Amino acid sequence: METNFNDIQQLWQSQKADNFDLAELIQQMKATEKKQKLEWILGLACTPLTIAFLVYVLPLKDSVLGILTLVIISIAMAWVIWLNSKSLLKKVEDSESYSQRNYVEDQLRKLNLRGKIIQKHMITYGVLLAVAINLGYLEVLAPLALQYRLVAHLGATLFVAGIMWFTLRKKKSKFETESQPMIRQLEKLLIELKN
Amino acid sequence: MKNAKELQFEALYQSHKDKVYRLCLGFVREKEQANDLFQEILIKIWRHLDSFKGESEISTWIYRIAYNTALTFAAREKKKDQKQTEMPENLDLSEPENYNSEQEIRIQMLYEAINELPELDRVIATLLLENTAYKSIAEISGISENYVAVKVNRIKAALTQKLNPQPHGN
Repeated sequence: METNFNDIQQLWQSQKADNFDLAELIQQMKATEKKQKLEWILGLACTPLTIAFLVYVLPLKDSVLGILTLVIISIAMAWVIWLNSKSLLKKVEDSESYSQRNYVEDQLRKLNLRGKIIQKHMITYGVLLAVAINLGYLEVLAPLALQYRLVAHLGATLFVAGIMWFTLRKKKSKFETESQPMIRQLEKLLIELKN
Repeated sequence: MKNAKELQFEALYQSHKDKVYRLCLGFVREKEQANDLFQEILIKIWRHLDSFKGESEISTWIYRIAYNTALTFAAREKKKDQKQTEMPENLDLSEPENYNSEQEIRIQMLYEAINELPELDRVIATLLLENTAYKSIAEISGISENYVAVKVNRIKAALTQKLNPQPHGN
């Protein structure tokens, strides 16, 4: 028997959704919203709390080098928070005039930014952190002998470099396995949408 | 007691669940994955419901969320599928006798045909199967109405051909 497009439409529309426990899902979503709000507030509070801790606990606020250290750390942390918030893949589909093409372009921009953060910006962040710590050490370790100071400077720099190396290696591998295939897929779709 | 958002969400769920669910089935092969995608779409609708200002049809807004979510979901799942080992040949995958009704086989053929389409065509095909107007299809996908018309003809032909295989032999 010949199947025409109307038959196909009827066949398609004969499929119905399974019964879904909506009340349970709403409760879960409300709980998640509360948790996310709390995490967001805590995350926002972390940077000023860290800076406040450094200002009051370490003897940094009374010297130019110390203040410079705090300023560099504050700027670096704020910059990374801003970059990460820009690369988050959320709240991009809620606009009423947001077409699929806009969506795909935005997702690609955000995914590419993630890659750029890992390949470029995190290294800059590590360098800024190392510079800030070394500037702070110049002030804090001033009373010590030169060889101790050199070891402390070298140790701190290597420590930051090591942490950054491990972090970046992990992030890079995650990006290559999760985000890059998505980028390729979305790029293919965008070409089709532009044609 | 339920608040206004919960009541609105429930009403939207009742009026759109079947269409959204079918869309999920058009994008992923496994029923379990379709359920996951369905849930992900519901979560996004709930999350963004407060931001809906009524500047467009709520159905268009829901489909936009649903299709955009399905695209990234399908891209993610495709990667996982590639990692899975291939099935050995000659494996008996036949369903129990009662399950294999003609309707089920034809639905399965339809999903397979839709799944074989490129992503954009898949979006258009599922919208078309829901009787969506060309204008809305253009709004959701971000392509022109004329281009939608061109695509629609090709998709109709492809799906009809898939569901009407040429008989072999005489």
